[in-house]
Amino acid sequence: MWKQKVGTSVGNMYPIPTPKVVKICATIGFEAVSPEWKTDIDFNAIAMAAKEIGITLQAVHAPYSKPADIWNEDDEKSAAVVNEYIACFEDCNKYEIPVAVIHPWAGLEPEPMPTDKGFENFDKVVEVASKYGVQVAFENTERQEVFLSALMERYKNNNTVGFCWDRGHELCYNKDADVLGTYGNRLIMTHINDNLGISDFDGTVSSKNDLHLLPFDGISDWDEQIKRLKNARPQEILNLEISRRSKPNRHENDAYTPLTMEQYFTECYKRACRLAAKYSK
Amino acid sequence: MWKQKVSASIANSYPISTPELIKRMKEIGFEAVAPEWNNREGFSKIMEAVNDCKIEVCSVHAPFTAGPSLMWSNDKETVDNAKKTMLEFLEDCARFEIPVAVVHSWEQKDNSMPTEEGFAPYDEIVDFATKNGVGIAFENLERPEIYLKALLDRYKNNELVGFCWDSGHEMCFTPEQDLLAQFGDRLMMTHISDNLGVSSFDGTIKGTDDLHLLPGDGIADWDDQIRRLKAAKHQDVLNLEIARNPHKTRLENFWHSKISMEEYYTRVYICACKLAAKYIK
Repeated sequence: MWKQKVGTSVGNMYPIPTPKVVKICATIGFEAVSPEWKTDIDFNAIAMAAKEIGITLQAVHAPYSKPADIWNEDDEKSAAVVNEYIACFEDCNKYEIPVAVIHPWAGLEPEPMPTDKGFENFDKVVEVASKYGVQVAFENTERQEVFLSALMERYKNNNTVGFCWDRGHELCYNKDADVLGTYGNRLIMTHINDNLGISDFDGTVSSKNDLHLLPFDGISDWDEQIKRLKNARPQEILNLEISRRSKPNRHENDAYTPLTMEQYFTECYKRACRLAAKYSK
Repeated sequence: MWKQKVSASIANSYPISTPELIKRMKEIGFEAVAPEWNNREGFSKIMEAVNDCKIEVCSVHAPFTAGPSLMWSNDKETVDNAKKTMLEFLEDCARFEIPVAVVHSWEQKDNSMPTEEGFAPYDEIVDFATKNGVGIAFENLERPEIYLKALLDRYKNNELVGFCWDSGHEMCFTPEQDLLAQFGDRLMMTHISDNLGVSSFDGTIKGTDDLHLLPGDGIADWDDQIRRLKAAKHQDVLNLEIARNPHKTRLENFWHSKISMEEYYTRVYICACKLAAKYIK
């Protein structure tokens, strides 16, 4: 979009292959996409599709099925995560993708706390990323006040480590804490999406609330969110991370599912432009 | 609506006939409609429906077969044919006591300039319209700082010549011009719609950015737009000009075609009322 680029995260679970989705996003008008990286997908096809159509690969989402295992004292479990991250960075280097988004933690139980083993593992991850010219963007997920906080503090003087702000997570996992205010000066990636906040009246945090709705379909005040974003480090690209499918036993995203991929990502694009217009004022 | 009339522009290419649509718009609640003139026979049927259901006509759009690129042409035969069509159209406006005829001012991105010879057909149609009590509202498209200004300047002492503000055209064709500030004192008609602004990051102006979305679906700040409108000449009727499917290569309006005409124009009506409510505060 004029004056402000917009991007969208893309997954690997669509009715059509992700390379085709990448090309659709470019045709619609997105300037960038951020794919998910996994060991069992043809990442080359995704990257090549992006290069063929001329859309920027802004970032990858590193694997996030078991991010908590990196803190595990069991070397076999933690090594599996570290090795996946390293393989991801190799592709980032190969395809010149500057940022890899990593979840510091997953899980809502109050234990455990960060481990020395985990820090050692992350030291290695950050070092390898740096060697490959990749910035690591730690994303706010559950227990950000423990794990994200610890990592951002540990690497506070490391320019290859930054912050990925997920607005939806901030709202439903982090109880609308001002995580962007805390780490906004190190913002290198955005996962912009909406949800309905915490659904349980007693405030119980649950993954069922992480809806990844389109902005304006949830409860966020987007004038306020853009104001907050503008107080953070400037972003060349505003990126949306939206989900087509509803959480189990929920229906908030049902309206998106019957849309064609072209229609769905067009609607994403419209919302991205609305935010970008506010951001670029 | 109480205290403020609302209207919508209508074309002639819907799944139902325009006369049928007019009846439904009256039922929905519009106080006025703004049809397009294609030919005498079609327009007579439209006016029959208008009279039957006692809805106002706030303006009629001049035929696109007499567009400005034809009226300003260097080829005499082209100009004569366009002028003939325009005069037929204005005769109908006079016959049916239409208060305002909307005429495009210019519609190309080029470096041409108005010529004294080029004004001749416009002098003729303005003269005819004025003698028959029909107002002409020149509408902004491309290069309003040249052609729209030239036309409004030429007829500046004619109270029956004024300005039709197209909010969408302003946003996507001339985003850095405040046309309401320049010509709002001569505002005679509104074509209110939304879009996503200029889609190209490098600022290239494209016709396909003219999406005619419902207000609120695009990037316009409608509080600000209404503030600007209130600073211009007062409008008895606020008119929306929305398109169901304006460009084959864009999908932003896709849902407009998925719903019935009743539901579609009901949504248009809802938008119109929301704007009217702001306008009358």
